[in-house]
Amino acid sequence: MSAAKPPKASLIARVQVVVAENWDMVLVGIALSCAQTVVPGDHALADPMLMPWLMLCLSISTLLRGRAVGDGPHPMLTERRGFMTGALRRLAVTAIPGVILALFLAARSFRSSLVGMDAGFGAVGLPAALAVLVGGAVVGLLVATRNHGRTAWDPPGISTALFTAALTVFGLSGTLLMGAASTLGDDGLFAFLPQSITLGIAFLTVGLALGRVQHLRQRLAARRRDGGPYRPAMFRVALALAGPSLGLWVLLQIYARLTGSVGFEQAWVLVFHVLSWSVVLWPARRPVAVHCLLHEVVPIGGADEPTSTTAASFEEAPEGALRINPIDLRRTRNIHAWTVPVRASRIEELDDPIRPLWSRPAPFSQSHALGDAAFEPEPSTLAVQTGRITVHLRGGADVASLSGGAAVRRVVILQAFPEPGQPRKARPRTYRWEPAVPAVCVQNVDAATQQVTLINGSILVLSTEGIARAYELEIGAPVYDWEEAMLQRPPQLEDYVAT
Amino acid sequence: MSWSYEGPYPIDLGAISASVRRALEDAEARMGGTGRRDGPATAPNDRGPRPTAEGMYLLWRPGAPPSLAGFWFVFGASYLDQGVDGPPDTAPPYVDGLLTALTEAVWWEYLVPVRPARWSPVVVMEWPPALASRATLAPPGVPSTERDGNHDLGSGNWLPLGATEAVSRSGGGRGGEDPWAHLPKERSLLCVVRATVEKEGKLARGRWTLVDPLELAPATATQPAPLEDWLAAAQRPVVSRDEAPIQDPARQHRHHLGGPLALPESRVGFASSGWLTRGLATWPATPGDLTVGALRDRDVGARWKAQVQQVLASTLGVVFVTLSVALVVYALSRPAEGEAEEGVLPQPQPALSVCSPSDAQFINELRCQVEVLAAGGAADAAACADKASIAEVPATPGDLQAAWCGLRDRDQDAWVAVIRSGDKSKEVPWADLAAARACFNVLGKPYRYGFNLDPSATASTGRVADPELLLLDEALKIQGLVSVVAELDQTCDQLRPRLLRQTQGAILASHVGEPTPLGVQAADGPRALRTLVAGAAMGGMSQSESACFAHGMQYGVLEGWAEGAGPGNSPPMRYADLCRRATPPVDRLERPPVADPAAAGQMASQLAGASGAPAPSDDFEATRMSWAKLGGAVPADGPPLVTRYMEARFSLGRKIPAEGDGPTWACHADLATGIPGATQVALGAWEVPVGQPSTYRLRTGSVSQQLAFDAALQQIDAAPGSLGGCWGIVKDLTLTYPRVHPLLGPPEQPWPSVEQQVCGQACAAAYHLRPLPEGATWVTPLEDLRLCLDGGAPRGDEGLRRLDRLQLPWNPKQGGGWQPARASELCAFHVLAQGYLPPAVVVGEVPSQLWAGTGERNSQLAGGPDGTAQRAALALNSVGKARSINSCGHVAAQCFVSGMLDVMGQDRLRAYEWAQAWDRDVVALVNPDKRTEASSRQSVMQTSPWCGLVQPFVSRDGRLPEGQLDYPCAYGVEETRTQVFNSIRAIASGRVAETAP
Repeated sequence: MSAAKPPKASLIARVQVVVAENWDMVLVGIALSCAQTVVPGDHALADPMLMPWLMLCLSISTLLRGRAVGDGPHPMLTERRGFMTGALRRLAVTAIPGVILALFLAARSFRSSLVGMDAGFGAVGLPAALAVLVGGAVVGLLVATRNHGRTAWDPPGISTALFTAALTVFGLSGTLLMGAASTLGDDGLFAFLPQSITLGIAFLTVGLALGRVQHLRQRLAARRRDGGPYRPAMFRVALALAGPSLGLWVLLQIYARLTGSVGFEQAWVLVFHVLSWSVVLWPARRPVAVHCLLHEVVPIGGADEPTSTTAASFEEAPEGALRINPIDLRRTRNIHAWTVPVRASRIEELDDPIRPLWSRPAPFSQSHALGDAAFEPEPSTLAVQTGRITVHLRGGADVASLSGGAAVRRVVILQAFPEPGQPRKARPRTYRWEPAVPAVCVQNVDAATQQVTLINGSILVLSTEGIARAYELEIGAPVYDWEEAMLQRPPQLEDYVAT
Repeated sequence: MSWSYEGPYPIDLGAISASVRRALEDAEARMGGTGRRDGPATAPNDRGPRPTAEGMYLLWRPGAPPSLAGFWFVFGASYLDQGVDGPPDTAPPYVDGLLTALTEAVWWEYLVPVRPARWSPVVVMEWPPALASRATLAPPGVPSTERDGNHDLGSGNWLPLGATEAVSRSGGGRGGEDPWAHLPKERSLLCVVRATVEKEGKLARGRWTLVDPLELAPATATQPAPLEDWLAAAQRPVVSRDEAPIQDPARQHRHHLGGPLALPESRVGFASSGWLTRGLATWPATPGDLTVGALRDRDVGARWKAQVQQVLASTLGVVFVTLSVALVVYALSRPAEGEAEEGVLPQPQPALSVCSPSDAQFINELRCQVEVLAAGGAADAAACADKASIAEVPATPGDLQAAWCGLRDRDQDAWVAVIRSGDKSKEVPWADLAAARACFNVLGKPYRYGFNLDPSATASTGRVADPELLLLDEALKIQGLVSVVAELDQTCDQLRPRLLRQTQGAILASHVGEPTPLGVQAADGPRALRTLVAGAAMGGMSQSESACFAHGMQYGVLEGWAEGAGPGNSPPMRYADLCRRATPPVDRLERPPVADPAAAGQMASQLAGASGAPAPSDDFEATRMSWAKLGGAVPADGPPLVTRYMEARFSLGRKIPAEGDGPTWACHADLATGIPGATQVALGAWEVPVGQPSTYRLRTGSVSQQLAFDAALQQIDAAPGSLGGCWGIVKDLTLTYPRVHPLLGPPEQPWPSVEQQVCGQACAAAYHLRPLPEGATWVTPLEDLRLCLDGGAPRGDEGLRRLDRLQLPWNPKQGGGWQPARASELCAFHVLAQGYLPPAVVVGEVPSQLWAGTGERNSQLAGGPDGTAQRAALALNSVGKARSINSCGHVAAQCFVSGMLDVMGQDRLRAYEWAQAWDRDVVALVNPDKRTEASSRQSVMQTSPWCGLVQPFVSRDGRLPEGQLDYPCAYGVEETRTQVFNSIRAIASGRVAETAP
């Protein structure tokens, strides 16, 4: 037995996927690495203990990617959302690393003053005051925006206040303990350990602050699909706490042994570390659909007057609308919306096997001329992509639905230029005056065609009963919620058959 | 127990996947409970709904618990509107959506009782008789009218009756007799599909294909195949995408039906090799177009595994990226090794004084440090201003130049100073340590120049100077101090070979020959020997070294020179006296005075065979300020230069190494401290006594004979060190000296004894009986022969002073005392005994080995009483006077050969005059009155005891006393006389030398 296996994805392809999904983090990393060079050596950010820079990186990544580490609400419930409340809530969690930094510095200075080192009141009091002030502001904002993300179902269960208090005590005590421990020495394996653990605490605090205990209660009440009890995603919690900590400690230990010392000169290493863990813990959201547009286009020069009243020889190239050149088209004002679903290789219910609260509604049916069109995963990496539409032509839903006359239906998909890497071999010409066109630029859809692909700018030419229409595909922005995707009317048959 | 069904579930043929998901959710809900893997909580009842109405049914296979085994689709009238169109499908329709829904419903977790890696459901698509009878490939034997009358196709049926009949007639009729007439008339058309879904690693895959109808029931079967049987037959895995559904090539070109299959509710159906389109045509075009359908691969791996994998990849990626960037930055930021011009280090401004504003302060401290360390001071012992905060050391008198050079030359003996501070130590050269300490102290012991940088050490409590920082560190070195050290070292390097050569010259002179006064040409003798050996020693030296060597040979190394100082009053030697101060010692040596130093240099040049050897310039010290400041006065009774140098270099009795120039200094130490005038005698090669001087003795070396010198060198070759270290120095100096003694070659037969053999060879050489080796110059033949000459009666205390002497036959009996043998008598004995003359010289040709006889051990006498020479003399001198031809001839041979050698040893005689002179001496022997006429000298034959014995038998004119009693004796004498005369002529012509042994 030999099961067909997907082709091996190359390392470059994987890296391309990672970069494409996380381009925002890449840009932030480059920007922070460049900013490192302009930070003065005596600036507070350039502290050789590296904590200010670490927390700055975490704040920026939280601003862009911060998300709860839990499973979120029941997927069949809709969260309350508001732009202002969402912005304020995100602003609050962005300030959490700053609060943790102030607590760390205050504990460190306090511990130093206890052992006789001249820390000064300012070194203790100023960070402590900042921690209280900013921490209070964060708590205030979180309380004020507590309805953001709220869902309708609030079953009884774990107390929100008790849970929040326990986590707050854990975060505070851990941060203070690490701040005090940072004065014990910086040699050997102990070096960078307090900073590393504090980074893990910060990651976890941000992730927990964005969650809701109500969501946990919902899931505990809903149970799993198989009837079993819901098990909270403790792996992600542990990962958020231990992953960045252990990773940073190992990284700095290796770096210190290789280079002899680690200081602010190596701040760019911290940038990449924090951002990469942000990618791991807060992966980029995957779209569920992409809004596309089909522009009706006509060839430039259409409706030209015939040059002769007699039929021309086959040896002579015809003129006028008979020739359709993908780059010599003009759009009409007719636009057809087309929401193309994005298919992931990953099965959603496998990751979140929670029991549905009610029967799922049927997904919208695409009565499209091209049938089963979707953004399918990259065959090699199985990663989600939104650049290429794949249409599987089935006997049940395809172009044959448009007409009963097989002799008159015809679909041709034109492409102005072949994609990089595709063969440039020209297709056979019908007439010798036809220009040489790469074979990959023309897809003839006939009764035997089972699959066609569309990219941005592809031209669809539908000929039905002697009437030809051309559409130019424009791939738009992805949408991440089915609710949003369903706002658009699916294309209907009459969009294409109406005259 | 039969298969059970669950349904019907509504089917949306345009969204089959969603329909199936709804059905599966309902099934899950029905199965719900505590654990779905245990199967449905309520097992489907086999008496439940049967798949007869339109919709989808779940098939449960009997078992405990029952397992979901497949799906049964029953199409209705809507199929004519929403059914598949046919092309381009080549795999059975709807199964793709069905399997996709199963995969997304996580079939291996919730729908299958156990957790298999593979699940093979069966899918049955049934077109009921109302549709099947109108198909192009309709089941056999179904009248269309009955079909139309018995089944309501619903409001969606748009097919006119006439068309139905036409289809039935054309497609359903098989003509002839219906073989299944006994079966119910309502016959469905089936499309049976087998599918396989599997979970492999983190991927879920699926395949499906149509089941060959003949695989379910043969076409010839008359009875329908039981439902459970053909369902079980259809439930088989699809193992490959290349699997052809219809295996028989004959059936791949035309659609066909299988045998009758039993359906629920006692119905009958026929499986087809295709499926019906919405137009009720069979698709695909031919059974050969059928393919195996495949699902798109789905990622179903555990999420935590994916996250761990992502974490590892991310961490390793960060480590790799950061380290790679760091390495790139490191590589790019490294200075490139190109051919750029070497950077010029900033040179400090020349200071008027070194290390301190007061130059004297530094000089005093430097002199103090040099003096202390040269006297054996330890490297880690504080001295001078080491303990003071500021160097305040009084000036020390004395000449410290030799001390500095001695400290510097400790490097040659791998003797370095070890400085310590804290737990660290470092090895540094002694001279550098002295200079560094001096500078460090006068600078106030700056912390940055301290060794180990111990912050607890203060300037006065053990802060130690680091010579490497002061002298070598490119950034910290003090250029003034570096210049001072460099100047001192350069001067020492320049003077070191001169001192060494002068010392070696003195050593050589103490061992070999005698000095030659200026203006005297010594052709032979000890003077010529020293000149010869010195020339060989100076052959590889530079001109300056040759001059110093010659200077040392003539004046030694102990005393210097002072204007007006007489012999014995000269001050100790200093560096300034090297190789240049010559006049006073020459006077003291009672030699023709050398007018000025230039004359001394000229003599040195003469000895070295070189001309114009440069002597050290007088302004030597004027250009070396630091060197001059290390100088000073040396008291008259102070140690000479060499002694001070050696004390500094080999401080406190440190063993002088045997490598490098160590042996020279060891020899000097022996000669400088030995007992004046004492000479030890050792035994050289060939048992020749060799003198070993115990002190410098420039006037007369311990060896004056070339024979003894050769014997010494030969002995050292055979046994190095047997003659002492000084002789080793002499030998090393005279490697190019050509040895002359004949016994230098492989050992010859030591007969009669080695000493006699040596003497015989000396005689042969002295009297030109044997040529010298090629290129050799034998300048002391007579001195060598003198070793063999008689020194009086043997005494027991002579030891090794002399070689064996020749005992005259009547010694010491006659005359009451010891009569020494003369050189010609001695050599006559030896040359006859060792065959240097033709055998005919001895009457009867007595073998030469018998001539001398066997000597007694330790008798110090050459030969023995059994020798032919002695026995003949004793016989001729006895009372009976046995005067035979042999006895008289043998005595005459000793007599005449003595006379022959006497003649040949006279320098005034040419070779062609030897025979005539000898003949005159023989005549004078017969007639003593003729002696004065023949020569003014007295021939040895006049006094030789051997000649006295044969004198009466020597005829004046060569005529024999015919008939007389003395005739035999006279004959032997005369015969010997003739042979000796012939031999003289032969020797004069060189023929004897060519045939010599």
